[in-house]
Amino acid sequence: MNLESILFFIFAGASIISSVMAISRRQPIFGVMYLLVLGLSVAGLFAVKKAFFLSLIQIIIYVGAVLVLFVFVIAMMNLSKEELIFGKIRRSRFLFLIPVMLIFILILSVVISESGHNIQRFQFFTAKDVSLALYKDLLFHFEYLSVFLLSAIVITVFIGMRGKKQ
Amino acid sequence: MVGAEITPFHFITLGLTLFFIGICGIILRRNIIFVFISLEVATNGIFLIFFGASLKVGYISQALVLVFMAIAAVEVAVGLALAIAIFRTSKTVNVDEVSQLKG
Repeated sequence: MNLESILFFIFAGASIISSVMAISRRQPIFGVMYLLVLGLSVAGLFAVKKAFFLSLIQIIIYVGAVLVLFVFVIAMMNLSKEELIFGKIRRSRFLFLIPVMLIFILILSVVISESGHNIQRFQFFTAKDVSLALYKDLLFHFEYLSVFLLSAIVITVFIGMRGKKQ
Repeated sequence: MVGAEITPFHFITLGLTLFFIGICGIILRRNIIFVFISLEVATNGIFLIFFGASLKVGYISQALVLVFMAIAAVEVAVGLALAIAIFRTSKTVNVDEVSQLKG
């Protein structure tokens, strides 16, 4: 066990525990705090494989922007205790068997496809390489994303204005 | 499987586990904020899957992770705006009670 695998298993355990805690809390703000731990540990997992650019982007976007949005929405809703008290489990307790089966099939397919291939190894991911891939190979995705973000701004402002009028 | 070196398999298995936890949260929780939190957990799982693939296929997969991060940010922004709109009109965060669209 070298340092890389030790760090990987520490961050992997932290991410699994924090995601289970995030979806099982009763108060939304604690769920958001555990989501913060999850985002940081995923950033750590990126950094274990020396993808420092992606790890920093993860911290800036997830821990910096998305979670602040969550906290603002929870503060705006200002839920009382009565509104938060409804049971955790929805209708059937066995509905979760559907994703269990799906994930089992997916892991099985990964195991099958993993065996018997030699792996081409990439050692160091810099911002330059990722940006070049973004501008050369994924140019359509990049432009599509700009239109997508613009439409998101328009939709969000529209929904907010409608709520204000009523 | 717990060898000395971390392979794409480790990342993909961890990502699938996070995705599974997120889908279970979406199915089991009724609070709309927790539905979005579970969606974020599942999205983080997808990031890990694509990052694990980038160890094998190179930078394109990692640039796709960046694209997905922007898409996830859009999804959260629009989703939380919808959640606030639902809360304003029906005064509840329980997704089972919001059934005006039922035909």
